[in-house]
Amino acid sequence: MTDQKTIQVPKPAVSQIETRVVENGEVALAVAPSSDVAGVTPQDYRQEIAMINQLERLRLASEVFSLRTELIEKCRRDAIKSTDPEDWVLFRDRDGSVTGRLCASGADKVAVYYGISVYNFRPIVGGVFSPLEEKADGKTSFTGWCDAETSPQVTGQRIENVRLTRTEGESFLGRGTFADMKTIIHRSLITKSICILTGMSRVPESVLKDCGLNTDKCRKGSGFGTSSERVAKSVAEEGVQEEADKFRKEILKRVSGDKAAGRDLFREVSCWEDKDGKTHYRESADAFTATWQIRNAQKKLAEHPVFGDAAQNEG
Amino acid sequence: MTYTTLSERLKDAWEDCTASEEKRATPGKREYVYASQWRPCLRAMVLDMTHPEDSEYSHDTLERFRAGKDFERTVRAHLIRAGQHAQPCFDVEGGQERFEIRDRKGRLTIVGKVDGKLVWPSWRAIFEVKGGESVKNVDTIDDFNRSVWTRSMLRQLLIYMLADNCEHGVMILRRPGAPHFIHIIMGDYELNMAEQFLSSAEKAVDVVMGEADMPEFHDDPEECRRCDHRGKSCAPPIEYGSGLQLITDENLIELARVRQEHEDAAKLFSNADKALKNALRGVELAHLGDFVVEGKWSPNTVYKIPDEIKRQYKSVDPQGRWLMRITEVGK
Repeated sequence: MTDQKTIQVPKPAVSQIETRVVENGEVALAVAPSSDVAGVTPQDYRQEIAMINQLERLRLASEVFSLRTELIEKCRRDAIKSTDPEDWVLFRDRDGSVTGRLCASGADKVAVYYGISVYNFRPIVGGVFSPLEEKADGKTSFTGWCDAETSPQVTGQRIENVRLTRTEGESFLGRGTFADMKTIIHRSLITKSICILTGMSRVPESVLKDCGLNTDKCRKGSGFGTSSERVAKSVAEEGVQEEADKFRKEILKRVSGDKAAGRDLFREVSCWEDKDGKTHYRESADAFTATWQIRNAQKKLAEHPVFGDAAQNEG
Repeated sequence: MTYTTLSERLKDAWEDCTASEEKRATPGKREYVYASQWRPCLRAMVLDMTHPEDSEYSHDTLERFRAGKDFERTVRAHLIRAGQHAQPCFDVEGGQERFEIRDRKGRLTIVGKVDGKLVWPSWRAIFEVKGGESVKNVDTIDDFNRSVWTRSMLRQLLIYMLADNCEHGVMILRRPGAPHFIHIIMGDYELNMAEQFLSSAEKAVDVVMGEADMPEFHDDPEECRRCDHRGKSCAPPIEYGSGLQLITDENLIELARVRQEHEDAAKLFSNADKALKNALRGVELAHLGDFVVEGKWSPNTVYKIPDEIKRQYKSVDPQGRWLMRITEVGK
């Protein structure tokens, strides 16, 4: 028995409480319950209202979340669609998976969609951007830093202390002057920041194709042969590719599948001398550009003292 | 020696000769502003002095310098002959004379080379000769400020006029035929521009001498985009806009679809309408195939306001016009 003059009754259903939805989506109690709903305290009604408000907030949050997800997905697709095949470099890994990395030219196009800001470039010496110069192992390297962020209305991400170092002797350093180095570091910091914030450092080739990009026209990076081999392929005569593949297989057959021996044999039979007497070597069959080059190599292979036709027949 | 080799060597010989004549492979560091290098960005003016290596002269640029010098020599020679037969006669004095302005502290602030002076018995004028594509469409003083390539030219002449206390300046601009002459009289507007240039130059020299801090970045990102120092000695923040918005308003989406669907028809209508209006201008009543054409004149009010009056009321709103493009990208 309690002291309170109340009867224990089940809590009233929501519909028995008259409510009004106010502007911010929350629910407020509009009409107090009538006196014949006995045994229900004001505390019970407040708990019901609180639960309704929480459910409403969750519903709104779910809508916001869906819209935000849709925005991020559309932003990514629209950003990739705004690029051209030449804005990407494709890389192939050992498993054969091909991914694309955005170049500087594409980074500027993509950054517009994400509302990216890149700022606080440093080091600053006397008010001037001046990459940090360091010497190690006889080589000079230059390092710069920056911060970056995306627009709050897109992803609202921020990264700090993006760092980039370039060292003497690397490729693509212009004329090697300090002015060129500053330009390269500045530009590369911007590209790197954009790739990190947008996740465009490694985009599967399938995604690029889905966005309408012809990946055959993309630049090729590692996994597609050396740069000289790629150039050779692009200027090779018709049919050279097939003949080169056959020759490669013939070499492997002659060395019983030993890849290292095959590489050495290939270099030996495919080398040539220029008019100054200097010997040049091809590192792989992809470097052939004309059928007569393959014929010459086949002839040398046939005459090879160890792996030639005569030696094969004796074996 | 093949024909191809000779052709390539001919081009190399031409470029080597131009480079040696111009001898401007790398401008040196200095502690004064060139009269021809007024910049709206004070920071850029400082860096022009302290990091001139950021601005490189390509072969094409050296060619333009050479062509400009040749034109200036031709104009000068012609002016000398013309002055002898003019009424009244005038003389041409000077010619690439070094010109200096010092500030109140006695420091060398602005240095330049005056193309020359026209001297009448009781009057004189400083003249500057300019060639190149950039002055092709310059007809009035205001036109100089319309282009980023010509705005420093006006200030160069004005600073010469200010320093020499000369009221009259003449810009001689290259044209396919006779050159175009623009006369400039030093009024309040022009004096204000010249004094602003001088003030900026003084501030820039203060920074170079270590008496002031490096100025802040310019607030117009377009200035930064064009600047030679960007990404070299100067690294302003880079903004790519506010980013993509997602608009889910079904009404607007439907309007965009309708717009896309009728775009070709709208273009056809517009072209036909324009062609008919041009062809039938002045025709008040006519039968045209299955159509009747009715036309009438209506008044159009034009205000012919002198440039100097218009200039006083000029204001440029950087967000005065809205340009929009809608492209279908699919889902």
